[in-house]
Amino acid sequence: MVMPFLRLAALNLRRHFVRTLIGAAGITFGVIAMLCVVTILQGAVRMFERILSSDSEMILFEKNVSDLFFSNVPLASIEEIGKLAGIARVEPALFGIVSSEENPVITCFGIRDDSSRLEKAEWIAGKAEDFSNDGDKILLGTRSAEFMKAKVGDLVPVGHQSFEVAGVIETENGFEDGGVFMPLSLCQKYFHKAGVASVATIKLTEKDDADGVKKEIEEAFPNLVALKNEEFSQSYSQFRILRTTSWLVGGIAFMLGGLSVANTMTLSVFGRIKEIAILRVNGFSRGQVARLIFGESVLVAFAGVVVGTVISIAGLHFLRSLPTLQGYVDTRLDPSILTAVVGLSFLTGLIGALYPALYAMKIKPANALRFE
Amino acid sequence: MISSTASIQNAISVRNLTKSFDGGRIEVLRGVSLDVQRGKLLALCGPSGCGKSTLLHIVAGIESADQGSVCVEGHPLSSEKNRLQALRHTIGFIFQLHNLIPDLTLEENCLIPSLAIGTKREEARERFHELAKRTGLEHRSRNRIQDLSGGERQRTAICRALMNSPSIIVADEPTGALDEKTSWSVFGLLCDLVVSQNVTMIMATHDRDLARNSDRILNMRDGRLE
Repeated sequence: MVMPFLRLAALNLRRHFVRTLIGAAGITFGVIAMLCVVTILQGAVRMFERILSSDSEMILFEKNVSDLFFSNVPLASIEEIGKLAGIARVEPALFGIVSSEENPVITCFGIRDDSSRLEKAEWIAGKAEDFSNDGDKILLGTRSAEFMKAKVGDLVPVGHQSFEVAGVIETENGFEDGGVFMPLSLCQKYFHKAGVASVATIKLTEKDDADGVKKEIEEAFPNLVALKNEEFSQSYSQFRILRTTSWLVGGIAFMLGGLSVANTMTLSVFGRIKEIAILRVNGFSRGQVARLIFGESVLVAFAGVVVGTVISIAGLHFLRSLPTLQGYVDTRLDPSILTAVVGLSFLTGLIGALYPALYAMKIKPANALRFE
Repeated sequence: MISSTASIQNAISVRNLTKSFDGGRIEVLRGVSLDVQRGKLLALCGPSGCGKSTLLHIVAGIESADQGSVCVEGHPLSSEKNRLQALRHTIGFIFQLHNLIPDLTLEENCLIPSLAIGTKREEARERFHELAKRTGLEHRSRNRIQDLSGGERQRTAICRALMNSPSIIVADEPTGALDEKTSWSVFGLLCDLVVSQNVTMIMATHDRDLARNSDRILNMRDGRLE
């Protein structure tokens, strides 16, 4: 091939640089929107998943509740489930949200003093023995200690009450770090949920036993649901909403990007009808003309993908480095999301070139050369 | 006068061509028939609007006729596929206004027909250099079209038309936009190429002096051959 198609396509794009730039910018914004929105929201889902799973294989909650904050799992049932064969440990956790004068949202976690959450956390201040099941002192995550400006021994307002801080811990999870840990019984009392937890995490002795354990629990406790962590992640409506929202927002951004490419390519074709006719007279088939237009579009998409990905990575890195968001935003770029976004970019480019390519294919060389 | 080749077979056969525009209101060709012998130069003369260009477009396969038939080198141009094959391998077309792509270099413009048929890079460049040397354009091959003179542009168009070694050249007033001196130069080049490359040429022209140097002259008027 003497002058490869892509070179001819690149040449056409270079000749209308500003127009090309606008087309590529559409894809760039699509890539940025999708990568950032999807990454941040998927990151949020991952954080929630970690909060809920907490060193376990299964999660137990009340049947037919739309949100785990409304789930009530009786502690008595949790105790009985803990005795079932194949279960190594069951940990209840009660979730609640309150506000205080300066902090509109404070997430509270009611846990036991032997919780695996505490085992994995790093104690920044205070001592583990000061946080006990029957005590009335609380623990703060590092971020909540920061925004409450509190240290060990201080009384901090949580909703309508104040509690003494027994310690400050740092967890690997931003949401937990921004929350307040209460002894389970204190939390039950505070949220008027005596004898219940929101969820219980289940650690199995053998991971492969999950299906059997699940069946056994659901037969014995028809009002409860036990799901493997991955099942829960797929089925939990809040996660589904987050995932759908992220792809929807990204998809709309891509639609706009596609329109931008379509506009660029349409103008490009309209602006060189005579040239296309010249190519046809010199032996280009309709298919070759279409390939040229699609090639140009793919190049526009490629430019948009490269620039968009670079900006997204830089942007996510910047978000991660912001002190105010530290820990709250999980900005690890998932390769599968990147692959999907790149694929979608090229697809958008091709769809955007569909009409221009069809138009170019229909150009009648004799008419174009006669009247242009 | 271009010398005749031994063959008497017709390179181009046109039978009863009709073509109209604007829903039949403008009749451009009204039953045109002609034959062009292989290796001959046919000059087509006639006033503007008599149908010369339309006839040439149909002969070259750029446009289809309403009725009638065209055969080039024995192959009917009855389908789009046949017309495309003819444009790629059998026919080279030269326009009055050269119709080159301005932002490409002379060489890139000439390589377009090779790109269309997927000729190997080295082979195509070799062919280009051979033609560029013959047309006196070798030193200008890297220049963009806007940097070339009118005569150079038309020679570039001739070069491009010959890239895929067609056996037929269809030229629509190839010297129409050139001054007299350049016209003769370009015409001379065309005649040389017709002889050296052994191609058949059908050329529309207003210039009677040029036409007199062809093997045969046909006059057209109101869509008919006289």
